[in-house]
Order: sequence, then C-alpha cells, then structure tokens
Amino acid sequence: MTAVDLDRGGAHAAHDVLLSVRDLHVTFKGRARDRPVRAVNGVSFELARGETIGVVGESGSGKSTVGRAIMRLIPAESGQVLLDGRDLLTLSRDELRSARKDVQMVFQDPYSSMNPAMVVADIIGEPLEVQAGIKGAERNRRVAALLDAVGLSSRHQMRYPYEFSGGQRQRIAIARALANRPKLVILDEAVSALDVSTQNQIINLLEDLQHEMGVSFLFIAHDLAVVRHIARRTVVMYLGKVMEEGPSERIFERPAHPYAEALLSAVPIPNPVTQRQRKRVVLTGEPPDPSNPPAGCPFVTRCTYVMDVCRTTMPEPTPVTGGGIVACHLQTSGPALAGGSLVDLAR
Amino acid sequence: MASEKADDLLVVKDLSVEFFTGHGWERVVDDVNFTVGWGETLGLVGESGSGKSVTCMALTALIPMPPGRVASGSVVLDRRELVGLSSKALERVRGDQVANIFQEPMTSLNPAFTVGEQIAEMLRRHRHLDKRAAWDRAVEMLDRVGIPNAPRRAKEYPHQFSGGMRQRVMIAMAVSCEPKLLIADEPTTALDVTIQAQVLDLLKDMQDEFGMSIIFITHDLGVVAQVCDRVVVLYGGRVMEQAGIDDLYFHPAHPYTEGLLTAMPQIGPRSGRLASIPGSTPVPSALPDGCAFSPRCPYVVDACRRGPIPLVELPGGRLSRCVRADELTLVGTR
Repeated sequence: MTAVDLDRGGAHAAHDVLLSVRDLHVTFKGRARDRPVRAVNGVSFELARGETIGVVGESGSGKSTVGRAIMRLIPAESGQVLLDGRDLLTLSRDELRSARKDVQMVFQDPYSSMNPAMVVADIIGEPLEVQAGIKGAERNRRVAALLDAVGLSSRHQMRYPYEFSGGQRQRIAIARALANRPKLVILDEAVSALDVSTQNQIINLLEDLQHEMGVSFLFIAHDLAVVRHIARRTVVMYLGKVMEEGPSERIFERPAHPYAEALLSAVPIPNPVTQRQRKRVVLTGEPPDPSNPPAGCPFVTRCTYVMDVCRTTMPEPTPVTGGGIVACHLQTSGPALAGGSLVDLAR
Repeated sequence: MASEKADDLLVVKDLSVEFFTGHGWERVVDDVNFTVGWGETLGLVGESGSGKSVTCMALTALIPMPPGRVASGSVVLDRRELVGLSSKALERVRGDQVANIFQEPMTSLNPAFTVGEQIAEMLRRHRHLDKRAAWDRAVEMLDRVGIPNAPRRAKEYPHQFSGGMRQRVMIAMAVSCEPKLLIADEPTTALDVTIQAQVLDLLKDMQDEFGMSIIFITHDLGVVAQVCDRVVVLYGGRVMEQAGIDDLYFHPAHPYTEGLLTAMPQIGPRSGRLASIPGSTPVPSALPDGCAFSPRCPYVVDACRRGPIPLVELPGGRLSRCVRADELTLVGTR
C-alpha cells in the first residue's frame, strides 16, 4: 500500500459547493398494516462544482432513492437538498419545472428511458424546446453539436433508439441530459449494463464533458472499481444510512468503516496472484430487512468487530484522518481508532 | 496436443451452432474446441454476443431447436458422445451428469413448488430415492449450501428467498445428484459483491467436496482470476485464446485478451484515462473476413484480413488465433 497524502481531503472545503444534501429522509409507506421502509435515513453530503461524487452500496442501501429524491421523482419525508443554496424540496411545481433544467438524470437502461417512437433529433431536441424555448434552425444546430460532443454523428439524427447499440443509446441519453447545460447530472448505474470496453468509452466521455462544461456528477453505482476511477469523493451507504464518506483515494486505501472494508475486500481483483495471496473479509449473512432494521447500527448483524454499544446506539459521524467522516463506534469506543483506518487495527 | 489427452472429462471438438434468421442460417458459434479436465474449473470469457452462453447451452442441447441447430462438431462427456443423443437420453444426462446454474435462478426454479420438492424430485428421478429419503437428502443439501433453518425453509417457495439464497438453492439442486460437470453461466452477475463472494466460496467448497469440474461463464475478469484454472476467450463465436490462468493474465497471446485486461478498471490508485477497445462487438451477420477482431485490433496487418485464421499452438500448450502471436509482446495484468 502506498503512502497517503493526508492533506488531500482538506482541500475539499475550499471548493465551491454546488449540492448540499442535509439529513435527507425518504420513507416508503405501504399498506397501513405494513411497517414503513426507511429507504433513506438521515443522509448528508456535499458535492463541489465540476466534481464527481460516487454513491456506493448494495441492493437496498438506498443509493438510487437518494438520486431520485434529489430529482424529486419521489417525495422526501424531510431534509434539505440545496442546489446553489436553493432548497429543491420546497419548490412549487412551476419552480421545479424550471429548476429541472439544472438537474438531469441518466439511467441504467437508456432504452426504457427514451420514447421508442421518437427519432434521436427529437429525443435530444425536446428538452431544448420545452425547457429553453430553442426552436428551428438553432435547435437543429444544437442537436448536431450535442451528438458530436458525445461521439455520434449528425447523420444519426433521424434514426430511432432501436437502431443503436447499448453504448450508443447511453451516449444519446447523455446528450439529452446535457442539452440545457445542467449544473448537476445524476447517473444511476449508467454504465452497469455495458461491456467493459464500452463502459470505459462512456466513462472517458463523461470525464471529457465534465472538463469542458464544468458539470457535477452524482455517480450512483455498485461497481467500486468504476467509482474509484471516476469519483473524487465517495459515499458508502448501508440500509439507508451513510457509513462512511470522504475522498475516494482515502476510502479505497484506508477504509475506516468495517462495511467499507468488507465491501472493498469482496471486489474480485483481475490478477490471479493477488487474488490467491490476499486476505479477504467475507461477510456472513445478508443485509437485514429494511422494514425491520436492527436497533443501533444497521451493520451490526454482519460486522466482525461488533461491540455491545453497537446493538443499542447508532454511532455519530466522526471525522477521519485524511478526510471525510465515518459512523462507527470503533472510532470512539473499545479499541478506539480516533479517526484512523481499520488497516491500522491489529486483529 | 495436450488438450487431446483421453483423461479429460469433456472434449468439445469443432462445435458450430447456427440459428435460422431473416438472413438464413447464421453461425453464432464457429468451430469451437476446448476440453475440461476432471476437477478443473474452466473459464469461458467474452463480451455480450461472443457466443459463450450458446456454446454451453449447446453442450446438452439446451438451445431451442429450431430455430437453432448444432451444425457440426462433437461433445464427448466421459467418453460418451452427446451430440445426436435422443431427447430421452439427454434428459438422463442433464441434472445427473451435467448440471446448469444461471444468472437468474428464478427462471430455472418452478414457482409453483417448494424448493425442497424441486430438489427431491431430481433425486427421485436420477437417484431413484424414495419420497422420504429424497426429502431428507434435499433438506441436507439446503443445509449444506448454507441456508439457515433448512428443514423449515425447504417447505418455502422460490419467491420467498432473496437473490443470494435462491442461487444457493440452485447450487443445492445442481450438486444434489453429484454431477461430473457443473456449467455456471454468470451465476453471480446479478448478486451484490458481498453475496457474490459468499457464492463463489460456496462453489469452491462444493467442488472440493464432490470433485466436479466447472465451466464458469462470465464477462468479469476479476471473478475469473478468483475461480478459474484455465480460460478460453471467445469473440464473435470463435476461440481467440486458450491458456492457463497465470499465462493469460500476465502474458496474453491475443490482442483481444490484452484489450479486455487493460480495460479492467482497477481498485488501486487511479491512473489517467481508462483504456478501451475501439468500436463495438460484431453481430454474427456482419463478421469480417479473416480475423473477427481485425476491425478493432491495434496490431492489424493485411494478413489478418485474409482467409480463416487458424488457432495455433504456442509454447506451453496454449492456443492463440492470431497471425502475429509469435512476434507481438502484449501487455497483461501489471
């Protein structure tokens, strides 16, 4: 393991904050006799202008729900989503309509998020007309420029979504999302369905576009290696809560939360020798039922370091050396780490 | 050639599979050769459309015929030819000697029967156990694959299990008759990474216990590095390279393998831009002349575009379908 630049995380504070999510709660209430599911349970993080933050976690962690709540595709129960200081959650319908220009979303399956009866020129041109009133020749010029920016050619304009490969369709979805120069694009498993070389083409494209346009990305994904590459900071979620947050470099090299450590350890490494030699933390069991989470820390049922206090009290977020926060009693109780990494904890 | 030795469990020779489409018979698996040794885990790797799943489904005639057909070739399992067997004889092979597990267990489990009943049914049919003994063995298998409270859960239906638990049920069913060969087609692709780790460990345990061979189909080179002894790389329905696991990762002998390896994002320190193979995978109807990979290959020369490219043996018993395999020094995993 290489030496870590401890100051790197501190640089974040100096950046210009674009998005600030504060104590976000989303609860799904089913039938009256069912227990409500707290899909997002007090999530907070910040995203700087022109940067990418990754949100990782397994099924049921609430990572997609965070993205949808920011977009107001589903209602939040409480909390704030401040975009340039303005709370998206309190906007009226009309205000929201204009604010949507600034926040766009790209989904895993572009085919299901495009109208199959529309040609590409209309798929990309529609937000230009509806949100910015750009019509006619100017619209066509912008559509051609957007297609060019995502690596497609203007001769693709009159084709339908089914005529494209998965990677090309995702390029169209990205062009549509970027049409009105949004400040933030939420990418929910946007490269997960693609073959690895196509996936990499799309990631490189996203990085280029970010560089050119200064757009911020909220990159929701289960693939940790991809997040490590694209995101400057990472949020690790489990059962609706943030377990750890901080600079990606620090989290991936020196995880401070047992769940982050186990998650990283479970990622298969494409190197047979490393794979044979490394010590892996294999978690037992599965995540608990989100409608019936355990008391205290949600990870308590699978944690190898569990202590008595974990079963009663949810740990408060504490700062980590090297940047970010962690919510774990190991930092403050027992063999207290006091901001250190689990790597330092002698087993 | 080493791969022809008689003590291999499975010998696949010149296997070609075609599907009838609007353009006539289209070949999606083209002259595929490989072997699987006793107790060995062979990885079958490739991107979408490479023919890896169709190849394995054709082994026990699981492809729908029509529109599919095995156009040529032979599949010998433990010295017995499977191509051309009657459907009745094939039914005795499937489940008993060759078992399959798939990415989505829900499509292979019957939603109308409890999981215990489905495993017991296999044991009654193939092992001729009586009802009681089959049920007891089913419960024992469920317990063995790590399903908590197996006697009770054997009486539950597939939808009552989580994705990871369902895959455990599939594994219990697959190994219950102690098959010689387990074909695992992307068995962990739909699972979360911590559950994937559990299922991969379980497969390894089952292999150690029952001594079966495994064909592991996946697009994930991380998983391959963890579980496989040897690897066959497929592209456009053809074998591009075949090698032992370490050779393949550290000294790839085909440009396509190099492309796949260098494209894998690393969990380690970030390093500039991600590598990618230009272009996209070919469709069977539009395969180029010569090497299927030639339109995307950075090392392409005129010879690559002419005639069929043979699969040549290289030192160490490995195979490559590249005319420049001898002269190129390709980059593997660092």
